[in-house]
Amino acid sequence: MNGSIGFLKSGSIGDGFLIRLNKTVNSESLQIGDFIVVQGDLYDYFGIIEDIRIGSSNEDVFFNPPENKVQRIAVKGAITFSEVLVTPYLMIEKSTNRVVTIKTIPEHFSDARKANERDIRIVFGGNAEKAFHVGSPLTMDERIYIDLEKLAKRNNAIFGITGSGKTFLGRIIFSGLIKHDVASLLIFDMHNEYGQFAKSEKKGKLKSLKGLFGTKVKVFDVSDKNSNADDFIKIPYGDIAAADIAMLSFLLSYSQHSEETAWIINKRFGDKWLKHVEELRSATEAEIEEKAKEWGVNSSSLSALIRHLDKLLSLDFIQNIKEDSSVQKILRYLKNGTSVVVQFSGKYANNPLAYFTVANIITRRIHELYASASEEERNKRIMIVVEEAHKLLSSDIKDKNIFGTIAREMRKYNVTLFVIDQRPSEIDSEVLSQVGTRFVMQLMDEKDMDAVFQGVGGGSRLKKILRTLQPQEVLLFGYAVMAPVPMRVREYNESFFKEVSESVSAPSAEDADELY
Amino acid sequence: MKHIGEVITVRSDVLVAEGERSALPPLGTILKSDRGVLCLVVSHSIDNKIPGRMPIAYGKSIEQLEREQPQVFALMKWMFQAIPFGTLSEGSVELFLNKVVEIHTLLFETRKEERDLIFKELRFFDFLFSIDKSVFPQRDKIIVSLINAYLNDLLEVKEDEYVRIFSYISKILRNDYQTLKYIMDGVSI
Repeated sequence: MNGSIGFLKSGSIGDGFLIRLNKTVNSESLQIGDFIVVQGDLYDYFGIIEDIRIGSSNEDVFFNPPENKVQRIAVKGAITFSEVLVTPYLMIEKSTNRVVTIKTIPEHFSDARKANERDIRIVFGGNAEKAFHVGSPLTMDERIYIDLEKLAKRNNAIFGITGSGKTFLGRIIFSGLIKHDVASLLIFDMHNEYGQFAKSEKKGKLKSLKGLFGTKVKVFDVSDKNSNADDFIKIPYGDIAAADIAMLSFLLSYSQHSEETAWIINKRFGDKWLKHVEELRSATEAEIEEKAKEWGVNSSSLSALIRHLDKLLSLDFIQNIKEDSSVQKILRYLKNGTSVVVQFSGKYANNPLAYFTVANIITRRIHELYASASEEERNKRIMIVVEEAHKLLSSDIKDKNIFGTIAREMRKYNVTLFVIDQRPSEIDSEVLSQVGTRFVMQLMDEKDMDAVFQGVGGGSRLKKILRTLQPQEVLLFGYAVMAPVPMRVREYNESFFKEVSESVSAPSAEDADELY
Repeated sequence: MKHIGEVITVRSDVLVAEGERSALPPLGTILKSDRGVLCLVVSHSIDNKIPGRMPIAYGKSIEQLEREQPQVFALMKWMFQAIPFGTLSEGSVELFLNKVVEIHTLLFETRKEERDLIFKELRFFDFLFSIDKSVFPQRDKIIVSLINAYLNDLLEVKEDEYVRIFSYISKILRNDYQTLKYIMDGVSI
């Protein structure tokens, strides 16, 4: 038939379909990750090439190989052959175009062909009400859409090495979520890429989320030097609990004894505990010993705690103030459908302590407020975006901070995590299992590759596809798409800006005044 | 048209025909009968016309013997064996023998257009490789010469035709690559 590349030779749902290529089809015209349709009588079976192989029906051919191209072509098909292994994911019912997950297989010799634009439209074509174009198949120009509603209902992740295009992809996805008003984003923007501008890979600056969506995005910064910020983060001592400090132990060289000491003091003084500790920063050994006795803690542990907390207390945005923290403002924005980008400018750029402190404390506060709010109050979905997430979600500390809790439990409270990370193998496996949709870009480390497919059916096959990815290419799979899809991320350029900027429904100035 | 031979023996799968001295059809020649039966020349033989007569050695060259003892040649008959494989009628080839070959049937040379028709039928190669090599050891050489002759007669797209023919032969000989390679190497384009 027209467009046939071969026929179904053997296979099963579990092991995939083995397609023997027609002799006229050059194996180099197919690539791992290409979409293939095997045409049964009732269904078209939609799958992805996971492997390409060549073989021979008679090993004698290698003792006296064909001498020239014409001979090679002549024996191809009967003596030598090419095959592709296709993992089937979906069935498209021919009579209705209804798409269902794979449940049966076609007969022997069913024709196989490359998926065409129509197939891609049916499978990834964005029939969902809030579908968003995120890219194209690796060897086609057809659009691939994700279902944003589904995406926002669960935790999500972008994984990839530095330079693979994580931030670039993140901006595209977040633009979709904001444009379609699917969720309020709280983005902890470690490298200042999601605010007003982003660095262009070529030259100059590009519009980022604030630049694209105006008042639908508010930028907070821990540094008051950022002239593009709408507001600044101030964290009163009272907002910091011993639990927050425990989470930062990997940055503060924090010991078990210091942690226990902080807990005791926190319990004794409540939200004033840090102020009491801070007052001891200039105290003498004797004064510390006296306080230790008074508080019922070990004096050397108290000394160590003071020493360890010194770095934290040196952060300018942690202040001995009583005023309401920025958290309440941020939460109000989020509840109103406005996304918030928390940036780290000036001396806090690329400062892990500042980043993780702010991310942890703000997120914990939002968790507390949202979990205790009525169902009506939390009807707006919140998605918390965190970079370098493995440092917050490793097995060692996932139980000590709020991110592990959100990953596991907060879906029911309408709060989900969006993790951006380059070391998925260091993220706790239980947390990883809660990630609904994964955008996996280039990874080099075997452990990381294994981690992203943990608990995923057919993961070992997808890993083959992952190995072939180039920068700006992504293997997308999970809840928000019907089938795994390797794709090129769409361009982040003027036409994208135009598309997402159209019909943006920002809260009116009056609404904003009333709310804030 | 002058005939090439006359069928003098008919067996179930092979014909014996008598031809003329110095004019026996080469191995691999495709002949046709006046009734359209097609056959392939697979062997040659020379025998006495007088049953039981045994030739003796003269120790002379052929030319000398012809001059001095011409009766020696007059007493011999020149024969060839041919395997029938199909029929030709009204410009089409049927690769199935549905006609009995009568004794004394005359055999003629086929024309190029007729051979082209035969080569268009890829099942012709099934017939060729069904010839028992242990009975006709020259089979593979015959096939090489047959294909060479056919391709040499083509004016163009020889490569395409080579690929078409050998793609099919590769399927027949998928378990006998050595024979396939021998034939491929023997055919030049």
